Amino acid sequence: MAQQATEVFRTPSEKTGPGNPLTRGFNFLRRWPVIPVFILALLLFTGVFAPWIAPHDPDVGAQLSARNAAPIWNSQWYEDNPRVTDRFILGADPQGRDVLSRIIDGARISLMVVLVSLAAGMTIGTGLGLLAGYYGGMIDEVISRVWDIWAAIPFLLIALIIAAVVGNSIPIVMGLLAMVSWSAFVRNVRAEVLTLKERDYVAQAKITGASAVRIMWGHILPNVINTVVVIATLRVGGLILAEASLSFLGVGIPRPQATWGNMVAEGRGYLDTAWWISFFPGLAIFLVVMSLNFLGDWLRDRWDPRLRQL
Amino acid sequence: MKSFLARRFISSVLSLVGATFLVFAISQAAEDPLNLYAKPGGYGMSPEQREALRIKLGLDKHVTIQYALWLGRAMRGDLGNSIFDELPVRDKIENRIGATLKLGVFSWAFATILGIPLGILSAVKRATLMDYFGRGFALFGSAIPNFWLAIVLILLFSVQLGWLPSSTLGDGFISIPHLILPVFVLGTATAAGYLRITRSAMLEILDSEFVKLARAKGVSDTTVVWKHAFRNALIPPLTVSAVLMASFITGSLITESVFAISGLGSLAIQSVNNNDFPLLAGITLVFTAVWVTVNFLSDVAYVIVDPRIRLS
Repeated sequence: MAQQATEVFRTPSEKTGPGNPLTRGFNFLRRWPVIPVFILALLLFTGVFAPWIAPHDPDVGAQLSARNAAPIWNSQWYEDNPRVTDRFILGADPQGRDVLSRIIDGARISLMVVLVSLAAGMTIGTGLGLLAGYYGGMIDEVISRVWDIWAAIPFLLIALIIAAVVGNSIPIVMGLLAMVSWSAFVRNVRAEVLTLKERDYVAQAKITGASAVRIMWGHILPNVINTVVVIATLRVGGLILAEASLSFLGVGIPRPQATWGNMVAEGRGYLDTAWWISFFPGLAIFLVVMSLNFLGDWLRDRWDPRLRQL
Repeated sequence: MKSFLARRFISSVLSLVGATFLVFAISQAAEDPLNLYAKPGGYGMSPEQREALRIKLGLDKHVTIQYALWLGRAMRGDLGNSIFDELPVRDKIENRIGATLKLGVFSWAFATILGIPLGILSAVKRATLMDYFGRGFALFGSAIPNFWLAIVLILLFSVQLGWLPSSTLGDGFISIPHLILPVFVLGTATAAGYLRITRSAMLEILDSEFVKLARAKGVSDTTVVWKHAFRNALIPPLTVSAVLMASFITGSLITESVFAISGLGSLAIQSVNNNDFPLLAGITLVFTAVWVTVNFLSDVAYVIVDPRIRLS
């Protein structure tokens, strides 16, 4: 009877039992972004140590007979093709190149391109946001209008045109991605600065004769850095997708180089015979972007819940 | 309110000018734009012929003058001729725009019908299975690369199961089987965006004072959700409609190329491959115009829905 009475007053989460290791494990996974961090750590690790980890050479086919070799679990294929002595964990592409090694190599190049362009976009965007928010007036008007106009230009189309006229290369892709990434920073930093500059400590700094640069750099920037980091995390995923889309359309990182977008595009012609060429690089993009979005959401909820509407 | 709309209108027009001018500037910045029309030394062309072509195309004038001339003609509906087959750009665009519009409208409907109700349900039934499903979908939809999604769907439904066609929009005005895969591919990211924004807006509103007051007065759950909260929760999705529209334009380039749909997106890619610069400028104009119009309309809708702006 007494047992029943306490049962009634328990909250639903208590009913399943906090001591239950399964529930505890689930709650832990829900509270901390363990899986995304694991995936991203794996990405970072393989990206940095790519040449030492990759089981095969990503750019040179191991054997001519290994054309479109099946993934390792398809033992039937390897029995049918006894001349193929190597084993390919995720299969091989039409030139006998190992898909897994190319994914690892592609992680490296994508990581580099995305991080450089994000850093550039972050610096420009935050700088412009600070200027617009702090000075207001004409400067604000100009920056905001440029932002408005910029936001209405279809980026992929411009990328296509640039690729047609200038040709594609890694620095151009970085530039293009930087062009997309700056705008999110401007608007949010500006909004933040608008409220921060009315604070008493900023007025104090002005009274003591601090220069505008000093106030922006030393007094306002440290207060918007949380917002900047959160936006950056939320934007990385989008940038990876953009880079992959460019590569997929053939205007991203030029071809022999393995990138995830290039690989998906290369496998398009072999969907019915060798699905693994397109499938696994795409899965890699999906998992990484999902982890980044997840981590970004988590950071935002912790550090800056006001950005929830982003 | 009038000044708000007027400002938005001016910035829309400026965007249109900016985007098309960018196309001109890019073509000039890299190298002699004549090379886009005729490769130096190619096609057995003598230098004199090249210069004659330069004058005929108006490439001897300064870029701003060229742009002004192009803009003037564009406003009268003349977008020039394609380099590749010398057909009028306007005809080529008119032939192709139908497929893209069809795809866009259906994807938009799909995204709205799926995203907004699911977002509201997800917020109302917070922390239930429904909510986990909604949030899962939002995460999935915003992370999946649409070209890969297209390929996986083709692999599954066309190659393996053979249920749905893998390319073109089919014959006739509307062919549902042909539309299912491309619409799903194009609409998923947008649906996920709508879901996310609707959910967070709804959560915020359900937590607000006036909803609490309504509940305290004993208003039924249905009335609170649909009469008090729903209308307010629609404002954020409306305002981001334009941003989500952006993903439609870039998405149509990819979706049309994967599904071999002869719309504007695939025409754009074709024109890039042919170095067909007048065609590309025309397509950019159309895409940007659509985008800017949607942007402007969503501002108008914003004003209509949100009395705080209407009355200020």
